[in-house]
Parts: sequence; C-alpha cells; structure tokens
Amino acid sequence: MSAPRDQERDDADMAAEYVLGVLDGATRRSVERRAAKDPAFAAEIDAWAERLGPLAAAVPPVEPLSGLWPRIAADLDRITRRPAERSGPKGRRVSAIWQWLGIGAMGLAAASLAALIFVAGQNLGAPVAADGTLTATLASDTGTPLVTVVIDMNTATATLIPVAGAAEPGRVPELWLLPAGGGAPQSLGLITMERPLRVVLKGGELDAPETALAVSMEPEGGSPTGLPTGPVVASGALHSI
Amino acid sequence: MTTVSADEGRAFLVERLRAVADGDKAALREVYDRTSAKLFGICLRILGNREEAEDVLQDVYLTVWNRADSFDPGRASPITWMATITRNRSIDRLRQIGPRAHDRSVDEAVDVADKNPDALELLHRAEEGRQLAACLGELDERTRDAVASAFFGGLTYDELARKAEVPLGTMKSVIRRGLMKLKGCLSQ
Repeated sequence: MSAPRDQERDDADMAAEYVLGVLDGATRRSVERRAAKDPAFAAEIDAWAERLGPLAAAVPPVEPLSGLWPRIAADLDRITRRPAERSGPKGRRVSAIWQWLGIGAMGLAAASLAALIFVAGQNLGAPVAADGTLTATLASDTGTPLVTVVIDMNTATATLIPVAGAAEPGRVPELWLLPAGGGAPQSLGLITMERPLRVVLKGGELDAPETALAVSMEPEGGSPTGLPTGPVVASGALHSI
Repeated sequence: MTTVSADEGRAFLVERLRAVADGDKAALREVYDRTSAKLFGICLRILGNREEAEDVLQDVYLTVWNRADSFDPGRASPITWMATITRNRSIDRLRQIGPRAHDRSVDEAVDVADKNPDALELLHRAEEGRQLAACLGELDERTRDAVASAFFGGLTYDELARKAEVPLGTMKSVIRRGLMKLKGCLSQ
C-alpha cells in the first residue's frame, strides 16, 4: 500500500507542481516552508516560474476598476514605513503596522484611563456589522502569510488557520483587532500558531476593509498593558466575501 | 521594435521598484499604472470573479510595496516577479474560497477563464514565449490541455480530475509526465 505512494512521491516535482498551481493549500504551505529553509529547492521554484512565466505573460490584460488605486493608496497611508526604519539596525523585523500601533499607543498613554474604558465599553456594546463572512490573511512585513482568518459574522467567531510558525522565546502570540476609525487596538486574546483554533469575537465593529487584525508577541499571560507591547509579527485587513 | 520597448519597459520597472523599496509611493503608482491590467488579467483568470480579483490585486500591490527591497533584477524580470506574487496570491485565495464559491456561469469572466487556446495562441506570437509554445506543442493534446487548464485555472489535481472525469491518479501522472517532458524540452 505504501510502496506505490512512495513511488508517486519520488516522481513528483513539487517545485513544478507548486508553480503550476495544482497543490492544495496545506501542501502549498509545506512547499513554502521547505523553500524558506532549502535554497536549492527555492531555486528550483524560481526556475519553474521562469519556465512557465510566458504562460502568465500571455494572459490578456483586463483593466481593473478605477477605484482600486485609491483603496491601495489608503492602505499605504495606514502602513507607511518611516524612512528612519530602513537605515536602522536590521536585527529583528518590526512590522510596518507596528510602527503605526506604536504611535497609537503613545497617543493613548496621554488619554485618561477612564476615557479608554469608556471607548472599550462602547465597542463591546456595538453590534457586529453585517451578516456574511469576512476573511483576512495576516502576513509578516515581508509579505509571508502567517495566519489565514475566516470570520463568520452570524456566530461572531473567527477561525484562525496558522500557515507558518512564529516563535519568540518566552513570548506568546496575542491577536488584536485594529478598529476601523483608528482607535485603540482591542485584544482578542492569546492564540497559538501550532494548530487551527476558533476565537469568539466579543464585539467590536468589523468593517471590511477598514478593520484589520494583527498578531503581536507578548510576555506569557498576554500583554500587561492591554495594548500591544511586543513586536507585531503579522497583520492584515479584513475582506468581505 | 517590440524588443526594444520591452527592454525599456523592464528597465523602467526595475528602476521604479527600487524607488518603491525606498518608500516612494508615487513610484508604486507608476508601477501600478504599467502593470495593473496585466496582473488583473491573471487574477481574473484564476478567480473568475471581478470582486475577488480586485481584492487580491489590492493585496498584490501591498505585497510589492513591502517586498520591493527583496526583488533581485538579476534573478527575475520585474513582471515575472510580480506575476508570480499575483499567481500565488490568487491561488491561495482560490483555495480559501473554493472553486465553486461563486457561480462562474453568471460572471462574464468565465468565458476568459475557461478558454485556454487563446493564451496558447498569444504565446506563439510573443518572442519569449516561442520556446515554451514549441515544447507545449510537442506534448499530446490531452497532456497539453491538462497542463494549460491547471496553470490558467489554478485548480488542484483533485478538481482537474473531476472536471476531466478521470481518476485522480491518472490526472496526476498525465501532468507529472507533461511537466517532465516540458523540462527536458526547455533545457535543450
């Protein structure tokens, strides 16, 4: 039983199959993990992209809606990198959205705690925006997808599917909701990057694509301040289906 | 003449992507103006739905913004690099929503999405596509169709097998043999 299966695996050129696009999602993630660790394998993927590239180039162009660029420009404004960041030390990667969060958190420190609680209470009471399904791909600042999120608006539950690991010694991943209006990030709790899990959204306006989710690495037990304190390893905006 | 303009186009994009890597938003706009129709065509063909394709295209340009500093013109042409990001994002989205999440029959994009010969036709005409076209031409028709619909549709082995009404193992071996032949032919 296992012999023909092994045989089949030996015959498979995973780099070619990845580029051709015939692999299922889980297998694609495992190919990407292997490529991240194995430069020779990554080079094979590049070679196949080069071989099959003319097929992609042959696809007839279609003009997107004129409204698309403004959407992209708005996203850029949210995530703009500061020039200083690029010339800084290239140690740990700090996500662009983290810069944005950092500013938000500093601004909030000036606000009174009472105001903060008031804002949070308001959000908790707000109804979830609409029926349907929202999705988000939370990616690192290099664009590597780390978590896929599907939110069922009817039950207000988010299903998180980790696609790549993120580990920081002594720290645990915490999920944050970044509200549409640019208010304080709201913690959705600690999560794991080991396996898929469900998170119940306690409230908060979900307004795709203005609302975003982010994952930061926090001390054991979660952020001590109620706001992200560690590096943001992944972030992404919500999209409606 | 077309070769010259293609080279100029490539040099322009290489230079603009360098500016994007330095955080120049206007440069990204110029890259967008030059490439969005091409990349949108790729999204649309895989996803078969304008709305999904636009969401993915938005992600693609944000990815370009974030990753422009990792683009190496010595390794890939700018358009191949961007088309690869586009295909990967489109395929990942297709895996999330499933090929039947939207009714392709009500979308005008279906017509484009399911007809592969026109793209193969175009391949013959494009300078850099000739060798690939010739090698695809050496495959038997069934293998060529399977490879083309896999590439253009972004469908899994399982979905391809069901669509062609053949056993999964058959579809896998047809495509794997096709890929091996292509590799051999292209290395000549």
